[in-house]
Amino acid sequence: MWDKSGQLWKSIQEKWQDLVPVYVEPRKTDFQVGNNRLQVELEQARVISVDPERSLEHFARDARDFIKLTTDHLHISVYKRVGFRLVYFKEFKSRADAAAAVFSLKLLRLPDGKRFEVEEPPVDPMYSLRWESEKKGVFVNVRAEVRKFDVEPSPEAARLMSAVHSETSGVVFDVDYYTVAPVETGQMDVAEWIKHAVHVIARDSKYVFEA
Amino acid sequence: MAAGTNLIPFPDPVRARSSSAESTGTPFEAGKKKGPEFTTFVQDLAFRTTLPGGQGGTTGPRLTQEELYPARQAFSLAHLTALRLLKLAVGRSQRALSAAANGEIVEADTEIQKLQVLLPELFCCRILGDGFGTVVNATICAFEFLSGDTPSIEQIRTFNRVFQFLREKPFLGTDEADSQVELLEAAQLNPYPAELTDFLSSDESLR
Repeated sequence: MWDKSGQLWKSIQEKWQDLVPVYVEPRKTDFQVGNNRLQVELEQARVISVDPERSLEHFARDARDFIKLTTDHLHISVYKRVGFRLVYFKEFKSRADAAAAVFSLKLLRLPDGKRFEVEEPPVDPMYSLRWESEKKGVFVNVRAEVRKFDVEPSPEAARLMSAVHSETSGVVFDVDYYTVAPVETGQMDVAEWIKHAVHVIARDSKYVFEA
Repeated sequence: MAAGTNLIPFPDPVRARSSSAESTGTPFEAGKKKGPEFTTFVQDLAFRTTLPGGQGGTTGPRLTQEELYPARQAFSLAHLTALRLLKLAVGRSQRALSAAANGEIVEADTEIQKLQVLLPELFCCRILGDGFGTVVNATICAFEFLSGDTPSIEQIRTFNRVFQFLREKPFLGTDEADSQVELLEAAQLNPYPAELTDFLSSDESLR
């Protein structure tokens, strides 16, 4: 990987010309293009997209092109694991509201009354399930969470921007669909596989909430 | 237990989201479907060599095409058509092989002819990749080279192997495709277009 990174990213830049480096060192390279992050590190390549379009068609195409270039340049013949993760977030007014929303799904049994010497109902509930065979697996997680974000600009930057402090409560639905058995490169078309993964996740997620 | 698909959030400021933060009796109201907030695609890469003959170097359980791509509604037309035709091609070459082994040459020839008519449609699925197109083209040329003669048992066996390989790895790269073309050559078949062979053996190619 050390001697191939330059060639690899040159090819990637030919495809996405507005590529911006985020982190670059021989064992890990990380670039941003639009709302996608493209990462290659030892034994792993990853595409992350924030707020992608709902159909995920662009994401799937970008992931296919990126993985194809990585596979060709690094002479990969087998993928030890292929994974696709979807994270949905719904915002609520408060931490308590988010927790109540998760409890309303009836996935968890909430003990009545004061427990562990605390009067208030539990917060940040989390429910997770994993299905796994020797070939494939999926991990499903539903949780309430509070996201804190603090940016304190340096004295120089403070003239241009003010500090940012935000706190957001919400419910997360997080699905990780992956292979356990190795996949040979000739078996895999990334865009096609993502379409199947999206279909399977959409089809079967509703059964998680039927409990 | 498998490691999770790592998700590293962007370091940029959190974007404001338009969301109905009203808490009602039913917090998850029906309505417009929302897109995902994050999506990640990750591949753990292994730098392994491919065994001679294009056979993969993996051991243990392997995923078939049906297991990797389990949702019929999600298939692209080319992928679905290719898998359907390749299944037919494998079955017909297998039946031709059995018939030839039993000395039923006419039946073997009939199966081979049925197999041959699948190939033009299979070639139309070459959008799956250059490797796929290379292998299908090579089998078409190999049949043309036979000029209607029934292939030998060894040649039928080679066709069967090539179609099985293509069915398992329709997205193969050009290197793996070349190894399949070499298999056809090794079975005394000519996997190259007749025009190319003529050109290369003529004086014109030397100019």
